[in-house]
Amino acid sequence: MNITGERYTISYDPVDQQVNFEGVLRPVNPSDLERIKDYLIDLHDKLDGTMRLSFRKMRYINSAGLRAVVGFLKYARSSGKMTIKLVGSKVLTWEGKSLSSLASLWSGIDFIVYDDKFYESQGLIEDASFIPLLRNQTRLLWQQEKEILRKHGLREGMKVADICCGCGDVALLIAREMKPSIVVGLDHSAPAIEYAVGLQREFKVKNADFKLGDATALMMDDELFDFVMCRLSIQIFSKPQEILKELYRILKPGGRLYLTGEDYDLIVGYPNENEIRTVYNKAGKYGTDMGMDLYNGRKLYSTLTGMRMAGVKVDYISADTVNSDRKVFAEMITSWRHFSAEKIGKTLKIPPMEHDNLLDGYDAHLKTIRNLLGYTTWTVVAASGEKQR
Amino acid sequence: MRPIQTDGPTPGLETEAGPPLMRLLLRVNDFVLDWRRYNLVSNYMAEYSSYFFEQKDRAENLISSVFYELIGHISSCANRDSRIDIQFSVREGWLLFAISATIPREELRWLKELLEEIERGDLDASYRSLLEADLSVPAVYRKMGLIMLAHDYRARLSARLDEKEGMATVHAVIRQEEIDT
Repeated sequence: MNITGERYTISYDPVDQQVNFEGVLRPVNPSDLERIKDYLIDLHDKLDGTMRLSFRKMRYINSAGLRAVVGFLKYARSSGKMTIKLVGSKVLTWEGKSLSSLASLWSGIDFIVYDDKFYESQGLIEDASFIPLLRNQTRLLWQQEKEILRKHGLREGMKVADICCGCGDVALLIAREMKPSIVVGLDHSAPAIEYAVGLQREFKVKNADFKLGDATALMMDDELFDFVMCRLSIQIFSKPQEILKELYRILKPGGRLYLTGEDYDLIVGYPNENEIRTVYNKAGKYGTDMGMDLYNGRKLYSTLTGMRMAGVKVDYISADTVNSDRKVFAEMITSWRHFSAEKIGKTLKIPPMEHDNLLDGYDAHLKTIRNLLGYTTWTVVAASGEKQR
Repeated sequence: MRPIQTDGPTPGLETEAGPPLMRLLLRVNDFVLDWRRYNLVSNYMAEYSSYFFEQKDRAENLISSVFYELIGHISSCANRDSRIDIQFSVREGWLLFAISATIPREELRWLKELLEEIERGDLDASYRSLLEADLSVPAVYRKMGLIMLAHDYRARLSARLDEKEGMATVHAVIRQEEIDT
């Protein structure tokens, strides 16, 4: 059962015993407030254990809307029957203020920032130090990926969404070189979005817009975009389906969903082939321990067909030491070396010898890249499918 | 500024350094005729101003939330035939909000008491007791918007109240770092 107002919807998800608030809850009519409070009390009386109130998609609330929530919380506290968890997002400023304040004033009410937990593994790549790596990855992939994007249906005049856009450089290249009507880039990293906005200003790009946001709770209308992309990101999350359902929702029928993913088994090189294989086997395993899937490229076809997408296309984007600048390639591997051995290694508390072995493995790969007779590849799988009409 | 001023010129956000970043002068009656304008104007002020900030989306969310309460509070007690003056600026790490309108004398007194209560009291205790009170009582729930701003957003509220002219200007000043936290 849902209740809806002029700009809000409140629905109940029995799987998580969660009430989802969406839209803008700024009512001025007292009957709205009573209706909301009664709805919550009615649900509360039928449940046991924990009840969650999720505000992750509630862009705004006014003091009147808050009164309705407070009215319910007072009822729940006085009954003492259930634990109440208020679930918010780091993206919406009001939630960190008003919901956390309710939780701090009243015992028995918890406030959880959902995306702190969901983006736990991504937290490692949310600081500004990760941006040079993203830029180098783009330098290695873009010339090929531009053609792949065309092949997968990105056309001039389209409305494009780049979800988990990182520092926004690919979104801006698309805006400048492929002439969509608009590219909306969204990422959960505030430094990355700041960087993207700075680049946009610098390049004077008009047909792009960047937003800080949570990819599992997009504040975007259904069926808004002709082309929705999510590059090298699904692999970072332990629950990719939470992002995929949102990507699907914002895609127009007939539009295409485009995903890319890495596959560490496809990183090969010579000389030092054994050291290279060993280090990426280890790095892949540590990724898995962190909740990532660095072999996700091979699964994208199944992911898209499982979503009942039509006309699924799959291509390889292979950067190697022949078609790319060896220096840029080496800089990317140096960043990976640091990320894997220092950041992931520290988080997983790997033993010192293991840490040193990882560094040695990456160093062997760097030797191969810097050896003018050496050869290595980094292959990314690109896949897309059409949302059926 | 002192929390309550009852003399001197009406303080807007215009300074020697220039005009406020944004200013709207609107009819109070328009808000009375259609309450959706609270939302529209708050969001407009916020979206326009958000481009001044690095954390654009979080700034927009904060500015709209603050303006909604201020505009809602002042216009609901202002004279219908008066104008509401809405201003926003940023100065030296502070976000400055100012709302002015002509307000009946009894409303001025009520506003003065509320701002004094916010100024002198323990905000945690005030907010908790407000939430525990019967929020269906108008004298209680009308306080909630401004107390919420002071408590949740750490807004410093002050006002210039001119009983003779019936003019009220309410200022809310919030540290810019509140956008990030």
